Amino acid sequence: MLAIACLLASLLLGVLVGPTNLNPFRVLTEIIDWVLPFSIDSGLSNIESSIVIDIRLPRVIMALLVGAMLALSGSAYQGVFRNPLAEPYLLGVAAGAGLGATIAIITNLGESKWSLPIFAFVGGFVASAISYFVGSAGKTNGRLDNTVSLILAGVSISSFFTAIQVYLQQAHVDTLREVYSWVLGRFSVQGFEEILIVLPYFFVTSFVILLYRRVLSAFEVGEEEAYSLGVDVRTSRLIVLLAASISASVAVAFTGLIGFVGIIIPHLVRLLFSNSYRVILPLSMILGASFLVLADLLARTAVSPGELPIGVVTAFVGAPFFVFVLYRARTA
Amino acid sequence: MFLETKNLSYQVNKRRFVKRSSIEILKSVSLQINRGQSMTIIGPNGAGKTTLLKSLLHLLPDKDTFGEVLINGEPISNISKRELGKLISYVPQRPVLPSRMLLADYVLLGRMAHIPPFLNETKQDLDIVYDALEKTSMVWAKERMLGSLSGGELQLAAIARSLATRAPLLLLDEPTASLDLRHCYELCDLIYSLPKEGIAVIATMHDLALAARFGDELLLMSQGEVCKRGTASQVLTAENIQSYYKISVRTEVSSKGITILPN
Repeated sequence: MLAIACLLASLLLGVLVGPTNLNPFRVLTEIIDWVLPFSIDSGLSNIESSIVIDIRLPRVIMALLVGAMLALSGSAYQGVFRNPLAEPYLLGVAAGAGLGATIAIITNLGESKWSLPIFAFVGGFVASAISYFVGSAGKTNGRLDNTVSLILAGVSISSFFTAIQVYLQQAHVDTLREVYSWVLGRFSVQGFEEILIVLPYFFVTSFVILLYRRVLSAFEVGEEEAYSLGVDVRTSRLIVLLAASISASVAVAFTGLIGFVGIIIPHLVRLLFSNSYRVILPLSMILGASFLVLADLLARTAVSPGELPIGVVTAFVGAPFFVFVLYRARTA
Repeated sequence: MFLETKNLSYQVNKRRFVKRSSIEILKSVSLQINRGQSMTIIGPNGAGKTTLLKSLLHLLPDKDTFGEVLINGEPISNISKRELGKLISYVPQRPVLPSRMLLADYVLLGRMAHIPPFLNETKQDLDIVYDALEKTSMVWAKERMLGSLSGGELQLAAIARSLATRAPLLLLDEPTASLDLRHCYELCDLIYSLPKEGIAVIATMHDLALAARFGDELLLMSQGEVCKRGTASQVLTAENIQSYYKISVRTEVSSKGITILPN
């Protein structure tokens, strides 16, 4: 309940505050007008109402979706790998998406606004798929644990893709700035088109991961015991990783690399609330969403009329906060 | 027959450079157990006891396993993982016990195979969990984190989880390892009372005095083979122990069991 209230509050704040000073009451009326089928006069001018509906609202919704997706896939990865340091980019989503985005930018396929997200998504997804198949090939043989080999595969594939990306980037120095700004994360959403594309992925992947909440708990006792409890470890791991990787790739494709959310939010939930996945998964989504909405709010208002990269904000604000919670938890 | 194996063998192929060699970990093991019976497997380290338990769980790769494992006459390879989870429960030698998990949540994992994949547990599942905690006298700790329990309590927690599966066959790998004397006997009292409720128990055991005192049927394994089987007084002779454990001992048989002392 508290978490939902927190989400609503951050949503409101996200819509109400912005570089252009607008009357909060009128903004609310405008949004209600937009939601309801009949029209109410909010008293905002056409330009002002367009700022609210076409710029602020889509951006806030996008931040909400991406925050929820990153935090959820982060907690799913941590569950599957039984590793607290696992993050959504562990299997190479970031490196793959980075390469995809760089290719899209330097080949100047960027004529269409869709080419960058598509390339980034494909890159991220391909990289994590390669990691998965390399890392889980063959049978477990006492020497190498499945999850360890998956992580190792992810690390290798990531460095490989990053190497290519850096090479391409160096070879086309003129695009450096654009690639760099993508890497740091940005919400350049205009209107609702992107959101309509993200929504189905959001619903399907979140649904799948939430369905597997009990399986993720069973993973905590290790592969062998999870298996003896009647869990089809291989299949469920594949499904959860697939959902989490798709989710992370979609998020990355539209907003660039936003670090920190996927790893810190789930741990925040663990420290503050509960260690059970039935709590961690939904709460991570809600807190991840509110965190990113607020971070984006800060990103676009702090140095207004300029804009900070969202990745900078999440780390700059999130890290000290998390360190504080961690410290409190350890000394309590 | 609830569970039986026919000529069960398992070998590991090792490839060193060009030369291939295979080591047989299990050699043609045949055993039968019915509900309501207990079987205690003893044998020196590396005899294949743990591997035998894993083969019953279908945890070993099929291509290296030969022979049959049948449950109610059905080969285990035909039984789905979920069904198998309902039929057999397993407590490994060193169970993984996530330190920040609550005991109640941990025991609830035992219901995994029973709760339909995407639903939540029912009142009935929770009652079964409570019952398992009661049997292991761990109810008091149900809201505690596993990390705050002692070694003996953790072993009871693992047993509680396997009881919560309500599986007709319980496989226990060294359940008394690392327990003090009192906990050893209490745990064995509990484990060996389960057959009275129609559960089959297969346990491996290093403590021969415990095996002698509690086990109805003993299986002595050595180098992947079942060498001797029978009651404690048939299996635990000074002669058998000397030839399979490679240590010279004398035994004293009394009404309370068998005492084995190295010479």
